[in-house]
Amino acid sequence: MLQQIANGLALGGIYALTAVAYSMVYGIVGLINFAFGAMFMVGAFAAAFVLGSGIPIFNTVYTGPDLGLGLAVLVGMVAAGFVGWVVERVAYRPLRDAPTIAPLITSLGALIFLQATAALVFGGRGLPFPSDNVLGGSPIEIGGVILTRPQLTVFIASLLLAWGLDQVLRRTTFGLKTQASAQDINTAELQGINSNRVIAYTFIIGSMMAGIAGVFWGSLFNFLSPTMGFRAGLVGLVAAVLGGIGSIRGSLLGGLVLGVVQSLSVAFVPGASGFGDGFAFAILILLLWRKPEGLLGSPATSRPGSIERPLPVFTRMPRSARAGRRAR
Amino acid sequence: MSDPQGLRGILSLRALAKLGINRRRSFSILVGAVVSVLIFFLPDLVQPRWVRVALIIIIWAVLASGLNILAGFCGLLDLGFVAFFAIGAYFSGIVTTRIVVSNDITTVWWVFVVDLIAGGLLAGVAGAVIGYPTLRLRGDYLAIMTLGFGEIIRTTAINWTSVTNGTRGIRGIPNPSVLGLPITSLEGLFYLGVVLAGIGLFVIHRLLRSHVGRAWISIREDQDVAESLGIPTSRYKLYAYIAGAVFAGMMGVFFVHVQRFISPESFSLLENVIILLLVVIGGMGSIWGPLLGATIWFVSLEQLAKLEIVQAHAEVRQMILAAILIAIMVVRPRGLLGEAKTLVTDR
Repeated sequence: MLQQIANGLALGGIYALTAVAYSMVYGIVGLINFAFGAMFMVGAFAAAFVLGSGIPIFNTVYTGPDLGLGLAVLVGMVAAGFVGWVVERVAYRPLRDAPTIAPLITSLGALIFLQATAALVFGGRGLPFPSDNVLGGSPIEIGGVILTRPQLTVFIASLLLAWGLDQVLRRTTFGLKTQASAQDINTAELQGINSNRVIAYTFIIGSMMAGIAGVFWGSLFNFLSPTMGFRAGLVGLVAAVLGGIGSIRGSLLGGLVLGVVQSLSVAFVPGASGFGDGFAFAILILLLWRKPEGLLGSPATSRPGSIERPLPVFTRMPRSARAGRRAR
Repeated sequence: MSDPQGLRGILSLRALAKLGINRRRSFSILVGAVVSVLIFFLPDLVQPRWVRVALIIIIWAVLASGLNILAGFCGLLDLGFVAFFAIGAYFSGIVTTRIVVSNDITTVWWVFVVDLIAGGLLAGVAGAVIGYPTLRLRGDYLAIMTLGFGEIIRTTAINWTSVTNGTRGIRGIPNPSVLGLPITSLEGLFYLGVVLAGIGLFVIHRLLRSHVGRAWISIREDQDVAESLGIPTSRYKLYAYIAGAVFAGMMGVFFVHVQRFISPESFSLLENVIILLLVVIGGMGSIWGPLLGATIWFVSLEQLAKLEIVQAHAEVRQMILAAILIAIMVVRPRGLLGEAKTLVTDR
């Protein structure tokens, strides 16, 4: 039981990082950026290359230098951030005043485009993620729970990163600008905040988080493929919504809860292993049905209009009115 | 023929006006007649593979029209729409292979018709079940929740192996038979598809002119105003779910008898994204939008397959299509025939 929870927490750390990426961008522009699944993959491939793994590029295998895990995470982060910046420039910025469905569609387009490009360049097959001397050591036992080194590293690093980002958003000038833009982008511009730049930074930081999550995913499962980010990205999105999208702390909590629930359900529910992600979605649906703003999200942190705020009800309203109520 | 001046010689406008047909209307009747003749002779005019493409276009256009009811007319963004398609397809696939084939009643005239209706109704029930808990949600939350439903249906199809045969899928599903005659030729299937699509588009057209359709559009434009005008928005949203699901379920039944094979692969999120793309390319909230979107999409898919680089690397096709998609969105964010001014997620 404890062992399963520990496994789940490591997995949940990855989900949490991906969830943070979705949350940041959603909080500021109200867009679900599906392309983070691709950033996840970009980060993993870049890191695998600088960990001395042979990556086939157009059927020729190139072997990169082995820089160690720390630098590999950095490289993965930068690569994902760069791709995120390009995607923001090409696919989102021209659509800032379009109906919100339009950037949602282009984000799906960007996801498909990047995955297909990766499949073309690297070949469609999966590759092993190189093991590293930091992570390759023997498992560590803490209080009867056996943790592999990747699990421990991933969990701690994810927590630190999410905490660090939360602090940045709360304490720095950049964080204040981001918060101001998230609350009301027009007013923020009137205060002299360059909202285009803030939005671009948000995309870059989100992509970096997704990229790091990809590196960790690779080291945890020892595997990378062009489509690896698709399902992981979806589960990260579920985690973000579970915790209350737009809230960094909520995303962290949502990711961890989801990781533990998945790990426990696979271990204790017979025949559940195949349903893996199905469980995540079932939890999500139940939660959204009863508590649409997520675990930690208050209706105020999500975008106005994106969700119906519950009206304080003192008397029972007619059924039809209750179902469609909304406070304004 | 497209020049309205030329019509004067062909049709006596004054006589037609007495019948209540004005110039504009006679023009659209003429276009309709030309298109009908073209469709009727299509199998003789083009190569068989284009007939196949046309059949695929028809199926996906009606499917996308179903989503168009939800997303384009009612403003409910559904990312799990393919689940209704899957329900219809699996229902008919399972029923026909388990009951119909084993009892050798494939030639009974009503089997396909009953299947079509039952599959549509079953999907409609699923639409009501899925629609009900999502009525409180708006915009992106709705999208994610429906995405969850789609994934649950798909994982069920994968894991409930005793019924769905898991990832291996169900094989040996017979072609549809109408009036006791099994339709196996490509042309026959094409004509059957045209008839079904024609009925479907006509029903959607009539629905939109009814009070239900007007209620949907008012919900899309502004739910609060709609509610304040006395429109029970929850009920009409539920109607939209049911209507969209019925169309998807019926097309699922037709699809499975055309394909004669079914597996969870056909109902992934990517498929759902493609349905949404067809709606969005053509323009949300336009009756002909999904048909235009499907035509553009599948004709370019087929044409791209001719390129050498695509034959060598299948991924290139996805790359090109994704790039085209982004380009269309950047140039025309409301789609090519787009009418929908806002989606509820509008900020």
